[in-house]
Amino acid sequence: MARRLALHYVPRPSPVHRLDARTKLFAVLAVTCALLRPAGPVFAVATLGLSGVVMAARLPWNLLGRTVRGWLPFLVGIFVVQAFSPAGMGPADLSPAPSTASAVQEGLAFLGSFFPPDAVVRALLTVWRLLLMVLWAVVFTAVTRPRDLQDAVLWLLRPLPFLPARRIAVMAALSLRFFALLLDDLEEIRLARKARLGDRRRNPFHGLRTTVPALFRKALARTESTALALAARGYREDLPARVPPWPLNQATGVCLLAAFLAALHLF
Amino acid sequence: MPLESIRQMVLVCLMTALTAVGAQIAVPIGPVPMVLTNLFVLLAGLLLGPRRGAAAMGLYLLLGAVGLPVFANFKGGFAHLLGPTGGYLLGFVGASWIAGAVSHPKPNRFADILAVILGTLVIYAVGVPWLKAVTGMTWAKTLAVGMLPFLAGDAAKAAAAVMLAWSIRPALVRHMPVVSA
Repeated sequence: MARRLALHYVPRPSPVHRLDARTKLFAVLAVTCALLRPAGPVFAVATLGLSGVVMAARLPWNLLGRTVRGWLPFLVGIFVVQAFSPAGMGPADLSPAPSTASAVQEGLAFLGSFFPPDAVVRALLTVWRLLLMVLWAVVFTAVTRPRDLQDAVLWLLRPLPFLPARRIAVMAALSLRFFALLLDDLEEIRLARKARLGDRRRNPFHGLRTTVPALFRKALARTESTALALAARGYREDLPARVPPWPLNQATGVCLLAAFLAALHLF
Repeated sequence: MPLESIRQMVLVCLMTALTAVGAQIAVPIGPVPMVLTNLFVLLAGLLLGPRRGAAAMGLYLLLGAVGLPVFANFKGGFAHLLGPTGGYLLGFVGASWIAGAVSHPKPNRFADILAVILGTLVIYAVGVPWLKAVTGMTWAKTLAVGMLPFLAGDAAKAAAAVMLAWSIRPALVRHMPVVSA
Protein backbone atom coordinates (compact mmCIF):
# COMPACT_ATOMS: atom_id res chain seq x y z
CA MET A 1 0.00 0.00 0.00
CA ALA A 2 2.87 2.34 0.77
CA ARG A 3 3.90 2.03 -2.87
CA ARG A 4 1.00 4.34 -3.67
CA LEU A 5 2.94 7.09 -1.91
CA ALA A 6 4.36 8.32 -5.21
CA LEU A 7 5.10 12.02 -5.09
CA HIS A 8 3.17 14.32 -7.38
CA TYR A 9 6.35 15.99 -8.60
CA VAL A 10 7.04 15.44 -12.32
CA PRO A 11 10.81 15.82 -12.94
CA ARG A 12 11.75 17.55 -16.24
CA PRO A 13 14.81 19.57 -17.39
CA SER A 14 12.82 22.79 -17.88
CA PRO A 15 13.31 26.46 -16.92
CA VAL A 16 10.05 26.37 -14.95
CA HIS A 17 11.38 23.52 -12.80
CA ARG A 18 14.60 25.48 -12.19
CA LEU A 19 12.78 28.54 -10.79
CA ASP A 20 13.00 29.09 -7.04
CA ALA A 21 10.11 27.46 -5.14
CA ARG A 22 9.23 30.81 -3.52
CA THR A 23 8.90 32.46 -6.94
CA LYS A 24 6.48 29.76 -8.08
CA LEU A 25 4.59 29.80 -4.78
CA PHE A 26 3.97 33.55 -4.82
CA ALA A 27 3.16 33.53 -8.54
CA VAL A 28 0.47 30.87 -8.01
CA LEU A 29 -0.88 32.81 -5.01
CA ALA A 30 -1.05 35.98 -7.16
CA VAL A 31 -2.95 34.17 -9.94
CA THR A 32 -5.33 32.56 -7.41
CA CYS A 33 -6.06 35.90 -5.73
CA ALA A 34 -6.69 37.47 -9.15
CA LEU A 35 -9.13 34.66 -9.99
CA LEU A 36 -11.13 35.25 -6.81
CA ARG A 37 -12.62 38.34 -8.46
CA PRO A 38 -14.09 37.32 -11.82
CA ALA A 39 -12.94 39.45 -14.76
CA GLY A 40 -12.70 38.49 -18.45
CA PRO A 41 -9.09 39.57 -19.10
CA VAL A 42 -7.89 37.75 -15.97
CA PHE A 43 -9.59 34.53 -17.15
CA ALA A 44 -7.93 34.85 -20.56
CA VAL A 45 -4.47 35.57 -19.13
CA ALA A 46 -4.77 32.77 -16.55
CA THR A 47 -5.89 30.24 -19.20
CA LEU A 48 -3.24 31.20 -21.75
CA GLY A 49 -0.61 31.43 -19.01
CA LEU A 50 -1.49 27.94 -17.78
CA SER A 51 -1.12 26.47 -21.27
CA GLY A 52 2.19 28.30 -21.71
CA VAL A 53 3.57 27.07 -18.39
CA VAL A 54 2.51 23.45 -19.08
CA MET A 55 4.29 23.55 -22.45
CA ALA A 56 7.37 25.32 -21.07
CA ALA A 57 7.60 22.81 -18.20
CA ARG A 58 7.10 19.89 -20.67
CA LEU A 59 4.41 18.45 -18.42
CA PRO A 60 2.15 15.74 -19.84
CA TRP A 61 -1.30 17.07 -20.74
CA ASN A 62 -2.90 13.98 -19.22
CA LEU A 63 -1.75 15.28 -15.82
CA LEU A 64 -4.35 18.04 -16.24
CA GLY A 65 -6.85 15.53 -17.62
CA ARG A 66 -6.47 13.28 -14.58
CA THR A 67 -6.95 16.26 -12.28
CA VAL A 68 -10.10 17.35 -14.11
CA ARG A 69 -11.47 13.80 -13.84
CA GLY A 70 -10.79 13.74 -10.10
CA TRP A 71 -12.54 17.06 -9.48
CA LEU A 72 -15.36 16.41 -11.99
CA PRO A 73 -18.08 15.24 -9.54
CA PHE A 74 -17.53 18.27 -7.35
CA LEU A 75 -17.47 20.69 -10.31
CA VAL A 76 -20.62 19.15 -11.80
CA GLY A 77 -22.34 19.57 -8.42
CA ILE A 78 -21.30 23.22 -8.24
CA PHE A 79 -22.46 23.79 -11.84
CA VAL A 80 -25.89 22.20 -11.30
CA VAL A 81 -26.52 24.07 -8.05
CA GLN A 82 -25.29 27.37 -9.49
CA ALA A 83 -27.23 27.03 -12.78
CA PHE A 84 -30.47 25.74 -11.22
CA SER A 85 -32.84 28.63 -10.66
CA PRO A 86 -36.22 27.86 -9.05
CA ALA A 87 -37.29 31.42 -9.97
CA GLY A 88 -37.50 30.24 -13.59
CA MET A 89 -40.31 27.82 -12.71
CA GLY A 90 -43.06 30.48 -12.86
CA PRO A 91 -46.13 30.13 -15.10
CA ALA A 92 -44.71 32.50 -17.73
CA ASP A 93 -41.68 30.26 -18.17
CA LEU A 94 -43.77 27.12 -18.47
CA SER A 95 -45.95 28.36 -21.32
CA PRO A 96 -46.73 25.59 -23.81
CA ALA A 97 -44.47 25.24 -26.84
CA PRO A 98 -45.95 25.76 -30.36
CA SER A 99 -47.76 22.72 -31.64
CA THR A 100 -45.22 22.23 -34.49
CA ALA A 101 -42.31 22.07 -32.10
CA SER A 102 -40.72 18.69 -31.67
CA ALA A 103 -40.50 16.80 -28.40
CA VAL A 104 -36.82 17.68 -28.20
CA GLN A 105 -37.60 21.39 -28.42
CA GLU A 106 -40.26 20.98 -25.76
CA GLY A 107 -37.79 19.20 -23.58
CA LEU A 108 -35.20 21.92 -24.09
CA ALA A 109 -37.77 24.59 -23.30
CA PHE A 110 -38.73 22.71 -20.15
CA LEU A 111 -35.06 22.43 -19.12
CA GLY A 112 -34.51 26.07 -19.99
CA SER A 113 -37.22 27.04 -17.53
CA PHE A 114 -35.16 25.44 -14.73
CA PHE A 115 -31.77 26.53 -16.05
CA PRO A 116 -32.05 30.09 -17.41
CA PRO A 117 -29.24 31.00 -19.87
CA ASP A 118 -27.74 33.75 -17.71
CA ALA A 119 -27.52 31.40 -14.70
CA VAL A 120 -25.91 28.72 -16.89
CA VAL A 121 -23.30 31.19 -18.17
CA ARG A 122 -22.59 32.32 -14.61
CA ALA A 123 -22.23 28.70 -13.48
CA LEU A 124 -19.89 27.91 -16.38
CA LEU A 125 -17.69 30.87 -15.46
CA THR A 126 -17.59 29.72 -11.83
CA VAL A 127 -16.57 26.19 -12.84
CA TRP A 128 -13.93 27.55 -15.24
CA ARG A 129 -12.56 29.79 -12.48
CA LEU A 130 -12.40 26.90 -9.98
CA LEU A 131 -10.77 24.67 -12.56
CA LEU A 132 -8.12 27.29 -13.30
CA MET A 133 -7.34 27.68 -9.60
CA VAL A 134 -7.01 23.93 -9.15
CA LEU A 135 -4.94 23.40 -12.32
CA TRP A 136 -2.49 26.22 -11.48
CA ALA A 137 -1.94 24.62 -8.09
CA VAL A 138 -1.49 21.17 -9.67
CA VAL A 139 1.09 22.54 -12.10
CA PHE A 140 2.88 24.22 -9.20
CA THR A 141 3.11 20.92 -7.31
CA ALA A 142 4.25 19.12 -10.46
CA VAL A 143 7.16 21.49 -11.11
CA THR A 144 8.38 21.93 -7.52
CA ARG A 145 10.32 19.31 -5.62
CA PRO A 146 8.84 18.63 -2.14
CA ARG A 147 12.22 19.37 -0.58
CA ASP A 148 12.36 22.82 -2.28
CA LEU A 149 8.83 23.60 -1.17
CA GLN A 150 9.65 22.50 2.35
CA ASP A 151 12.59 24.95 2.29
CA ALA A 152 10.26 27.68 1.01
CA VAL A 153 7.81 27.01 3.85
CA LEU A 154 10.68 27.08 6.36
CA TRP A 155 11.78 30.42 4.86
CA LEU A 156 8.27 31.75 5.32
CA LEU A 157 8.05 30.48 8.91
CA ARG A 158 11.55 31.57 9.98
CA PRO A 159 10.57 35.11 11.03
CA LEU A 160 8.03 33.65 13.48
CA PRO A 161 9.97 33.07 16.72
CA PHE A 162 7.51 30.54 18.19
CA LEU A 163 7.78 28.17 15.21
CA PRO A 164 11.09 26.24 15.30
CA ALA A 165 11.99 25.68 11.64
CA ARG A 166 14.31 22.71 12.24
CA ARG A 167 11.76 20.89 14.37
CA ILE A 168 9.11 21.36 11.68
CA ALA A 169 11.45 19.91 9.05
CA VAL A 170 12.20 16.86 11.24
CA MET A 171 8.53 16.38 12.08
CA ALA A 172 7.54 16.51 8.42
CA ALA A 173 10.08 13.79 7.62
CA LEU A 174 8.97 11.66 10.59
CA SER A 175 5.28 12.00 9.69
CA LEU A 176 5.93 10.86 6.16
CA ARG A 177 7.86 7.85 7.43
CA PHE A 178 5.03 6.99 9.84
CA PHE A 179 2.47 7.41 7.08
CA ALA A 180 4.12 4.72 4.96
CA LEU A 181 4.52 2.38 7.98
CA LEU A 182 0.95 2.89 9.18
CA LEU A 183 -0.43 2.17 5.71
CA ASP A 184 1.29 -1.19 5.88
CA ASP A 185 -0.06 -1.72 9.41
CA LEU A 186 -3.54 -0.90 8.17
CA GLU A 187 -3.23 -3.45 5.39
CA GLU A 188 -2.05 -6.04 7.92
CA ILE A 189 -5.06 -5.31 10.18
CA ARG A 190 -7.41 -5.53 7.21
CA LEU A 191 -6.00 -8.94 6.22
CA ALA A 192 -6.23 -10.18 9.82
CA ARG A 193 -9.86 -9.02 9.98
CA LYS A 194 -10.59 -10.74 6.69
CA ALA A 195 -8.99 -13.96 7.93
CA ARG A 196 -11.41 -13.89 10.88
CA LEU A 197 -14.33 -13.29 8.45
CA GLY A 198 -14.81 -9.83 9.95
CA ASP A 199 -15.34 -8.35 6.49
CA ARG A 200 -18.63 -10.27 6.16
CA ARG A 201 -20.33 -8.07 8.74
CA ARG A 202 -22.32 -5.39 7.00
CA ASN A 203 -22.19 -2.78 9.77
CA PRO A 204 -19.40 -0.33 8.77
CA PHE A 205 -19.06 0.90 12.37
CA HIS A 206 -18.09 -2.59 13.49
CA GLY A 207 -15.21 -2.40 11.03
CA LEU A 208 -14.18 0.94 12.47
CA ARG A 209 -14.31 -0.40 16.01
CA THR A 210 -11.99 -3.28 15.18
CA THR A 211 -9.63 -1.37 12.87
CA VAL A 212 -8.93 2.02 14.44
CA PRO A 213 -8.03 0.97 18.02
CA ALA A 214 -5.74 -1.76 16.65
CA LEU A 215 -4.06 0.81 14.40
CA PHE A 216 -3.63 3.15 17.37
CA ARG A 217 -2.04 0.47 19.52
CA LYS A 218 0.47 -0.37 16.80
CA ALA A 219 1.15 3.35 16.30
CA LEU A 220 1.73 3.98 20.01
CA ALA A 221 4.29 1.19 20.15
CA ARG A 222 6.13 2.88 17.27
CA THR A 223 6.10 6.23 19.11
CA GLU A 224 8.06 4.89 22.02
CA SER A 225 10.70 3.13 19.93
CA THR A 226 11.14 6.15 17.63
CA ALA A 227 11.45 8.60 20.55
CA LEU A 228 14.08 6.40 22.20
CA ALA A 229 15.97 6.04 18.91
CA LEU A 230 16.01 9.82 18.38
CA ALA A 231 17.19 10.43 21.95
CA ALA A 232 19.88 7.73 21.64
CA ARG A 233 21.22 9.42 18.50
CA GLY A 234 21.51 12.76 20.33
CA TYR A 235 18.76 14.65 18.51
CA ARG A 236 19.20 18.42 18.98
CA GLU A 237 17.40 21.49 17.68
CA ASP A 238 19.93 24.26 18.15
CA LEU A 239 21.48 23.71 14.71
CA PRO A 240 20.36 26.40 12.23
CA ALA A 241 18.13 25.44 9.28
CA ARG A 242 19.89 26.53 6.07
CA VAL A 243 17.64 27.94 3.36
CA PRO A 244 19.21 29.57 0.25
CA PRO A 245 18.32 33.27 -0.34
CA TRP A 246 15.53 34.17 -2.77
CA PRO A 247 17.05 35.47 -6.07
CA LEU A 248 16.27 39.20 -6.38
CA ASN A 249 15.38 39.09 -10.10
CA GLN A 250 12.79 36.38 -9.46
CA ALA A 251 11.28 38.31 -6.55
CA THR A 252 10.99 41.36 -8.81
CA GLY A 253 9.34 39.21 -11.49
CA VAL A 254 6.68 38.02 -9.05
CA CYS A 255 5.97 41.62 -7.96
CA LEU A 256 5.56 42.62 -11.64
CA LEU A 257 3.18 39.70 -12.23
CA ALA A 258 1.07 40.69 -9.22
CA ALA A 259 0.97 44.32 -10.44
CA PHE A 260 0.00 43.16 -13.96
CA LEU A 261 -2.85 41.00 -12.62
CA ALA A 262 -4.08 43.85 -10.43
CA ALA A 263 -3.99 46.18 -13.45
CA LEU A 264 -6.14 43.71 -15.43
CA HIS A 265 -8.89 44.16 -12.84
CA LEU A 266 -8.79 47.94 -13.33
CA PHE A 267 -9.16 47.90 -17.13
CA MET B 1 16.67 17.69 24.08
CA PRO B 2 14.81 15.89 26.94
CA LEU B 3 13.29 12.51 26.13
CA GLU B 4 9.82 13.69 27.15
CA SER B 5 9.88 16.55 24.59
CA ILE B 6 11.05 14.13 21.88
CA ARG B 7 8.28 11.72 22.84
CA GLN B 8 5.64 14.43 22.54
CA MET B 9 7.06 15.59 19.22
CA VAL B 10 6.92 12.03 17.87
CA LEU B 11 3.35 11.65 19.11
CA VAL B 12 2.31 14.76 17.16
CA CYS B 13 3.95 13.28 14.03
CA LEU B 14 2.09 10.06 14.63
CA MET B 15 -1.25 11.84 14.87
CA THR B 16 -0.44 13.62 11.61
CA ALA B 17 0.32 10.29 9.95
CA LEU B 18 -2.82 8.71 11.42
CA THR B 19 -4.92 11.56 9.98
CA ALA B 20 -3.33 10.93 6.59
CA VAL B 21 -4.11 7.20 6.92
CA GLY B 22 -7.66 8.04 8.03
CA ALA B 23 -8.12 10.04 4.83
CA GLN B 24 -7.54 6.80 2.91
CA ILE B 25 -10.01 4.66 4.89
CA ALA B 26 -13.33 4.77 3.04
CA VAL B 27 -16.45 3.64 4.90
CA PRO B 28 -19.15 2.60 2.39
CA ILE B 29 -22.13 4.63 3.62
CA GLY B 30 -24.49 6.14 1.05
CA PRO B 31 -23.64 6.87 -2.59
CA VAL B 32 -20.31 8.57 -1.75
CA PRO B 33 -17.93 6.65 0.56
CA MET B 34 -17.15 8.54 3.76
CA VAL B 35 -13.50 9.15 4.62
CA LEU B 36 -12.34 9.36 8.21
CA THR B 37 -10.27 12.55 8.13
CA ASN B 38 -12.65 14.50 10.40
CA LEU B 39 -12.68 11.66 12.90
CA PHE B 40 -8.90 11.82 13.30
CA VAL B 41 -8.94 15.64 13.39
CA LEU B 42 -11.27 15.49 16.40
CA LEU B 43 -9.34 12.60 17.94
CA ALA B 44 -6.12 14.64 17.71
CA GLY B 45 -7.68 17.33 19.87
CA LEU B 46 -9.32 14.87 22.28
CA LEU B 47 -6.17 12.81 22.81
CA LEU B 48 -3.34 15.33 22.50
CA GLY B 49 -4.90 18.54 23.78
CA PRO B 50 -5.29 21.90 22.04
CA ARG B 51 -1.68 22.83 21.26
CA ARG B 52 -0.38 19.47 20.13
CA GLY B 53 -3.63 18.64 18.34
CA ALA B 54 -3.51 21.88 16.36
CA ALA B 55 0.21 21.32 15.68
CA ALA B 56 -0.55 17.85 14.28
CA MET B 57 -3.18 19.30 11.95
CA GLY B 58 -0.92 22.18 10.90
CA LEU B 59 1.73 19.63 10.00
CA TYR B 60 -0.87 17.59 8.08
CA LEU B 61 -1.78 20.66 6.01
CA LEU B 62 1.90 21.45 5.45
CA LEU B 63 2.55 17.92 4.13
CA GLY B 64 -0.51 18.17 1.88
CA ALA B 65 0.51 21.62 0.64
CA VAL B 66 3.96 20.45 -0.38
CA GLY B 67 2.33 17.84 -2.60
CA LEU B 68 2.59 14.71 -0.49
CA PRO B 69 -0.44 12.47 -1.06
CA VAL B 70 -1.91 12.73 2.43
CA PHE B 71 -5.38 14.02 1.52
CA ALA B 72 -8.28 11.72 0.62
CA ASN B 73 -7.64 9.17 -2.16
CA PHE B 74 -3.86 9.76 -2.01
CA LYS B 75 -4.18 13.31 -3.29
CA GLY B 76 -2.07 16.27 -2.32
CA GLY B 77 -0.89 19.65 -3.48
CA PHE B 78 -1.80 23.29 -3.25
CA ALA B 79 -4.97 22.72 -5.27
CA HIS B 80 -6.69 21.37 -2.19
CA LEU B 81 -5.72 24.32 -0.03
CA LEU B 82 -6.40 27.06 -2.55
CA GLY B 83 -9.42 25.40 -4.16
CA PRO B 84 -13.03 25.24 -2.97
CA THR B 85 -12.30 22.69 -0.24
CA GLY B 86 -9.43 24.69 1.27
CA GLY B 87 -11.57 26.20 4.01
CA TYR B 88 -12.52 22.79 5.40
CA LEU B 89 -8.86 21.79 5.49
CA LEU B 90 -7.82 25.01 7.24
CA GLY B 91 -10.70 24.48 9.65
CA PHE B 92 -9.03 21.24 10.81
CA VAL B 93 -6.47 23.25 12.82
CA GLY B 94 -9.15 25.25 14.61
CA ALA B 95 -11.35 22.17 15.10
CA SER B 96 -8.56 20.19 16.69
CA TRP B 97 -7.62 23.12 18.91
CA ILE B 98 -11.17 23.74 20.10
CA ALA B 99 -11.82 20.00 20.67
CA GLY B 100 -8.66 19.81 22.76
CA ALA B 101 -9.37 23.03 24.64
CA VAL B 102 -12.86 21.89 25.63
CA SER B 103 -12.04 18.29 26.53
CA HIS B 104 -8.49 18.38 27.81
CA PRO B 105 -8.48 20.24 31.13
CA LYS B 106 -10.82 17.63 32.65
CA PRO B 107 -11.54 14.78 30.24
CA ASN B 108 -15.02 13.42 30.86
CA ARG B 109 -17.84 12.17 28.65
CA PHE B 110 -19.84 15.40 28.61
CA ALA B 111 -16.75 17.50 27.76
CA ASP B 112 -15.78 15.08 24.97
CA ILE B 113 -19.24 15.24 23.39
CA LEU B 114 -19.30 19.04 23.58
CA ALA B 115 -15.75 19.14 22.17
CA VAL B 116 -16.57 17.13 19.05
CA ILE B 117 -19.74 19.15 18.40
CA LEU B 118 -17.84 22.43 18.63
CA GLY B 119 -14.94 21.02 16.61
CA THR B 120 -17.24 19.94 13.79
CA LEU B 121 -18.93 23.35 13.81
CA VAL B 122 -15.54 25.05 13.50
CA ILE B 123 -14.78 23.06 10.34
CA TYR B 124 -18.04 24.26 8.80
CA ALA B 125 -17.57 27.80 10.13
CA VAL B 126 -14.35 28.10 8.12
CA GLY B 127 -15.19 25.82 5.19
CA VAL B 128 -18.63 27.11 4.18
CA PRO B 129 -17.71 30.84 3.93
CA TRP B 130 -14.55 29.84 2.03
CA LEU B 131 -16.62 27.77 -0.41
CA LYS B 132 -19.01 30.70 -0.83
CA ALA B 133 -16.15 33.13 -1.48
CA VAL B 134 -14.47 30.86 -4.03
CA THR B 135 -17.60 29.78 -5.92
CA GLY B 136 -19.61 33.01 -5.59
CA MET B 137 -22.80 31.06 -4.81
CA THR B 138 -25.57 32.31 -2.55
CA TRP B 139 -25.59 31.25 1.12
CA ALA B 140 -28.52 28.90 0.55
CA LYS B 141 -26.79 27.11 -2.33
CA THR B 142 -23.46 27.01 -0.51
CA LEU B 143 -25.09 25.35 2.49
CA ALA B 144 -26.90 22.92 0.18
CA VAL B 145 -23.63 21.87 -1.47
CA GLY B 146 -21.10 22.25 1.32
CA MET B 147 -22.84 21.41 4.56
CA LEU B 148 -26.24 19.72 4.52
CA PRO B 149 -25.22 16.53 2.63
CA PHE B 150 -22.38 15.88 5.10
CA LEU B 151 -24.13 16.57 8.40
CA ALA B 152 -25.26 12.98 9.04
CA GLY B 153 -21.85 11.53 8.17
CA ASP B 154 -20.04 14.08 10.31
CA ALA B 155 -22.36 13.38 13.24
CA ALA B 156 -21.50 9.68 12.92
CA LYS B 157 -17.79 10.48 12.76
CA ALA B 158 -18.03 12.76 15.80
CA ALA B 159 -19.80 10.00 17.76
CA ALA B 160 -17.14 7.51 16.66
CA ALA B 161 -14.38 9.96 17.71
CA VAL B 162 -15.83 10.18 21.24
CA MET B 163 -16.13 6.40 21.57
CA LEU B 164 -12.62 5.83 20.22
CA ALA B 165 -11.21 8.50 22.54
CA TRP B 166 -12.72 6.68 25.50
CA SER B 167 -11.22 3.37 24.42
CA ILE B 168 -7.79 4.72 23.38
CA ARG B 169 -7.16 7.12 26.27
CA PRO B 170 -6.19 4.37 28.76
CA ALA B 171 -3.58 3.03 26.34
CA LEU B 172 -2.27 6.55 25.78
CA VAL B 173 -2.06 7.15 29.52
CA ARG B 174 -0.02 3.95 29.88
CA HIS B 175 2.37 4.94 27.09
CA MET B 176 2.56 8.72 27.59
CA PRO B 177 1.57 9.74 31.12
CA VAL B 178 2.84 13.30 30.65
CA VAL B 179 1.07 13.88 27.31
CA SER B 180 -2.29 12.77 28.58
CA ALA B 181 -1.98 14.48 31.96
